[in-house]
Amino acid sequence: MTESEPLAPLDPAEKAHRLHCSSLLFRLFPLLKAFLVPALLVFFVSSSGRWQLWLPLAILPALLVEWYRLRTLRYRLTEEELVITTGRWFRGERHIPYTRIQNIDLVQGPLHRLLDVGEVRLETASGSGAEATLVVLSRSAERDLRDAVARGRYAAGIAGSKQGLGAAARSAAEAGLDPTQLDATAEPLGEPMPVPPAPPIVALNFAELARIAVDPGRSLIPLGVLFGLAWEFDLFDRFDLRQRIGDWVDAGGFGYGWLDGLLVAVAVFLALTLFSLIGTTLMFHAFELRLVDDQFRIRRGLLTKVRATVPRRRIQLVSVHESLIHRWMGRIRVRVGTAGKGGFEDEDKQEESWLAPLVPKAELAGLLRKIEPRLAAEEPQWRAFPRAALHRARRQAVRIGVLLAVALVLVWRFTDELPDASLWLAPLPLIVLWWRAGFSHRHRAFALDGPRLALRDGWLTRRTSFLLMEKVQSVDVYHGFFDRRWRQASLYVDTAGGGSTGHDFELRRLAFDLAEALQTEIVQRAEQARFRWT
Amino acid sequence: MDPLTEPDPKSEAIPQGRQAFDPRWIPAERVASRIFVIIFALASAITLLVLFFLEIIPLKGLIALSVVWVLLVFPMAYFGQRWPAWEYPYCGWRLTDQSLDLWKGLVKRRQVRVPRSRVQYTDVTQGPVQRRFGLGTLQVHVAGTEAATISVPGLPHELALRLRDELLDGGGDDGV
Repeated sequence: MTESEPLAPLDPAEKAHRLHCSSLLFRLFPLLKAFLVPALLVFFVSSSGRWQLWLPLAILPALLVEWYRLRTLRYRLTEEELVITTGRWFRGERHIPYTRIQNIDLVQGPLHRLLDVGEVRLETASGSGAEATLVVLSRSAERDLRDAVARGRYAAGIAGSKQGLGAAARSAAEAGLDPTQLDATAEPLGEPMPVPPAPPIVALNFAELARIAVDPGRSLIPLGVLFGLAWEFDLFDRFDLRQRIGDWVDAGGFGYGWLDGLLVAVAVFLALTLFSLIGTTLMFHAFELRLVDDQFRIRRGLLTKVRATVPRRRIQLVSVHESLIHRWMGRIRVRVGTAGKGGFEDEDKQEESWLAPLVPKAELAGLLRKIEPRLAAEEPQWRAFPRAALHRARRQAVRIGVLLAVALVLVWRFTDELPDASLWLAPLPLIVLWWRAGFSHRHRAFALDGPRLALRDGWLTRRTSFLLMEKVQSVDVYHGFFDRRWRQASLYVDTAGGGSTGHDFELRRLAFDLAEALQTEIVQRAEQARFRWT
Repeated sequence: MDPLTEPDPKSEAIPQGRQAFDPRWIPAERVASRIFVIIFALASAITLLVLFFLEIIPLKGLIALSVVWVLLVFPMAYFGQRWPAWEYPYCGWRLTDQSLDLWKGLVKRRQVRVPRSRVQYTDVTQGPVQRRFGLGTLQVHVAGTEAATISVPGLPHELALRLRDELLDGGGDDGV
């Protein structure tokens, strides 16, 4: 393992490699974006306050730090592990055994492809994102890395390590091993992540991308961005937007009376959808999901091409999301929580947990079966939440509804902002919240049958999650002050992939006795089903 | 920890059933909270005075912030002394064949159960206050996300060590 000296490799194959020299550029890229772009915008757009032009100078210290890091970072591919050494004064040395490496992800933006390099993310099972990120490696260095990992995993006899074995076979032959010992289904040489011609499980064409884009959850994001930008550059004042809109309304708009509002709304909706479509296309263009040797392989992206690998057994839980609009179209979205990706907030990385950004609902059972046959064993025996939960939700709805109504009336009474007609809106929150409480209660259910725990809830967007007992890490039952008044408690099941699917395994407001009984049951079943990472 | 004084893990059985925390946990918590409150009170008071003498805040501001300071520090001191005794009845732990269980919390009361085969590794920690009271904290690390580490405070130190060894023995199968 660690017997060789860090800077005295035993043989040339273990020589210390450096990152690609363009690393500096890519390490500084986020900073450049953060400083340079605003500075340029200010230069061209803003009339006053040019101090922002000096911002790019703030990069200088970062440049020095990054330069030092680039000059001192070395990695070696030994027989069993990847060794990364950093620093000169404060030395760091990290050993990552190949057997622990679960994923090698490659991320390439347009600039990366121009230089034939890529950002390589190595993920192990630890719960906090990538174990090591190498920014950036040349494609040939990345291939060598994959070879070494595949060879190391193969030597350690780990199943599902056929990834890149074609190249591994070649390397093994060079190393004097018998290549026939390696798998016969060796994949073509040279491809970093070879994809055999088997048809993809999920592939998205343009129509499907459009279906993703029309979801309000996505299409409202650009609205926020637009407002932010407009605010930032004072567009409202600059073009006197308020005045113009006022003038336009005074002049009679399009001249269709109240239909004008509708037209504007439709126009705004179309514009937002268009933005959302652009974003979706950038992210999910040419999306393909394949299952190769127990690993899901994902390819996606228009400008920044992403290839990700998700080993099947590393999937800890599966979430199925159905927004209202997708339900009408008979589509669902499937997300997985994997060990090593839990607890991240980065939007970009969250997108990686979509195993299927959109599939017809009929294909769910098949997809679940491919992830893990026991997940799709049969229809879950759904059990409703106790009625007391509904009573409590309704009482809460009444409280909030009344509060909002009173607030509205007070504002109407003591200011001149609201017209009298707005009083009709006062009972609206109460009605909606009351209806919502009943509606979401009817849909809320859980099922514990055999090795599988299932939970479904949600109001407009429905979420259903599945989990196998062997993936349970701990079970928590807790109750706050108000819970105790209702003799209720919540049950939370923690996994190594929790938090990454946008749907926590939290069974809220169970009867206390039920929560405790379920906890005991789950702990027992979990203890019987031993946990395996790989 | 002197290895010579470390007990033989098999020497004494782990008590069965739900166990309360060691009663010394209450004074230990009180001392810890006292130290915290004193440091907080001194640091914030000095900051206030320095800001005043540097004429960054006016006299009125100093008076207003002093009122806030009093309203913060005195309740903190009071509850710091009372809370552990209030919380004590709702705290406890249990080791069964299947799981390690922990009860904790006064307002939000938790009961966590970790299946024994999920224990990745365990630590026993002992802060300076705990050392004075002969207490230790058993930290159980699992591969979870929200509850990746479960801390059982309020154990006699040697019991924490025995529990640690017991948990490691029990989890012979690799948790990974």
